[in-house]
Amino acid sequence: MNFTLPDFAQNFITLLLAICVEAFPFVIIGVSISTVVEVWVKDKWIKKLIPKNRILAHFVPALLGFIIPVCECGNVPVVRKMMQKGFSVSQSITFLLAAPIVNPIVWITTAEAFSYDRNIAHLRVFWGFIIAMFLGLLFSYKSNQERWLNPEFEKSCHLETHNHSEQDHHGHSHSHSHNHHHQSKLTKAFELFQLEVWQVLKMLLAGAVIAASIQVFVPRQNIIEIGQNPILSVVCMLVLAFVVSMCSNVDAFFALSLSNSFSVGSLMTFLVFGPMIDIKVLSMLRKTFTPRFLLLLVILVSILSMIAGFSTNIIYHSS
Amino acid sequence: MPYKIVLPTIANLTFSGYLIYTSFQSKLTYYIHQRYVSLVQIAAIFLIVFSLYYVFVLSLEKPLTTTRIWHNFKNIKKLKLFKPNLLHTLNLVFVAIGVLILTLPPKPLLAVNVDNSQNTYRPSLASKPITQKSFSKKSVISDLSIQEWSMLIQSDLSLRSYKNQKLQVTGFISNLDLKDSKSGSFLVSRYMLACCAVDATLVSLPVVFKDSENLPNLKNNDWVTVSAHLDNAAFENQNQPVLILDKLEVTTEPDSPYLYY
Repeated sequence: MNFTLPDFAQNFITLLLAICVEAFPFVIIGVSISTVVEVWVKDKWIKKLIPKNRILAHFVPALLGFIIPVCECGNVPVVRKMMQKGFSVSQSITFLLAAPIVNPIVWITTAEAFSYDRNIAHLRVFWGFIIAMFLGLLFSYKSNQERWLNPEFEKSCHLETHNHSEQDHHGHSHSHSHNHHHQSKLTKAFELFQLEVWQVLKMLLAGAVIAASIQVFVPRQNIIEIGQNPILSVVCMLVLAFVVSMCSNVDAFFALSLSNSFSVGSLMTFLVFGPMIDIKVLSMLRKTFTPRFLLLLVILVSILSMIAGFSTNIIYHSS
Repeated sequence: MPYKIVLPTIANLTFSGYLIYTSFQSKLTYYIHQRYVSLVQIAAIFLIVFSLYYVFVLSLEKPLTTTRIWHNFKNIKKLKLFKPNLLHTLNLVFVAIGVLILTLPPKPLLAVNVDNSQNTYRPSLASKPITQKSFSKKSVISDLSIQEWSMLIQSDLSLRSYKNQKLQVTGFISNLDLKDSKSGSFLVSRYMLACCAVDATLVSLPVVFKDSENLPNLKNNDWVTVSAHLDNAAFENQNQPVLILDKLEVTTEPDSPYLYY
């Protein structure tokens, strides 16, 4: 078979595949680690880490991303489980916002993508951490945080906590053979790995289609005109991050494709806002939080991400 | 095997198999910087081994006998491999797009929509230092790339040091503008990569030819080796340093079509 496509269509395919191929090894690394953590690391080990002090109690969930390297697609179920095990809403929000950015895989891929200026990767982690801590602490001062939870999910939290406290009273009753348990965990890990790679590749393909389309069909000059405006470019990248819904493991490569045209600050907004809030994450979170709380979260994260973008522009212009 | 896993496993195996096949053809560099090729190969092999091992483990738990296959085939409707819902439809759309893309032969980026004013003599982000050369206007310099010449000219647009210097560069033709069969202009170009094709930047040198005999039938994206000398001349209504064509040979695409930062 020897198809000959028009030049623009051929470039579209090449660019699309370039994004997928470049991100592929990092997807495999990310999914492997998140599978191991999901299957073999017990939630109670993580819960024991949380101290009583308010600031430290939010500092630790923000840091958990370093040892639970899940991207935003993977950490929504983890957050639900954390709340079911007794985490407060504010602590879970801190983890939800920080984990997809501060995790080492994202840090490495961002540094790799922006190999010509690794400070972009370090600044991304810095802003992600600061925004997550700030919002977590802000929410922690509100009493009755459960009202932000979806009623059905709130019920399941109570049920789960109740079951666990009963189990603790009666001791563990895991009597099935260790071998069988191990075998089923291994099979579960393989199954999770297959499913997650497939899910991430699908999202990656969707993002790659949009990224390649922008490169091929929107004249670079038009993008440059938006990209060079310090305010418009930040807003433009915020909207793009929301719509594209790329996995944080690979979004740095997408941002890199726009690095010739957009200011560093607007790229920072994309890299910070995208993993925290996008269409895909919001749809996943709808079963956990009330729509009102999600709206509040979107507004606050948008404002803080734009501040991060503007500040980065100032830092880069002054240096 | 749980049927929700069938499609992901096949899709993962297909994509990783495609990557291995493309790397055997030495065409992964059409998409990514050559330093990432081995990383992609390792990841693809890892995914293939995991997928096959998963199939193996499951087949031990529930052996895939001919009787079972026949039973499943007879009851294929009950397995509900495809349900008319949004998720299954989207999965099929993704698979269809994937199959379509993977069946096309790999090609490097082609020159389209080149904006001359933005791309000629474009300085690179982090270019390698050019080794000190002794320029001799009598001899032809053929070991400098388009990017290196572009940088040299950028640093001395008056061409004090390089006027009439003979040179030979290889690249593809873009922005071909033929006045007639013997005169016209084009850009001899190469894409430069930092990471993958997505961040590719075009570097170009303008080439002008007048009264040229025996020129082959040229078109955009043809790979050519240009033998020329440097001089100032009108290009795109602007007097600027250009390559005055002495000789042109149509050549094949080089093993590595891109230049790298």
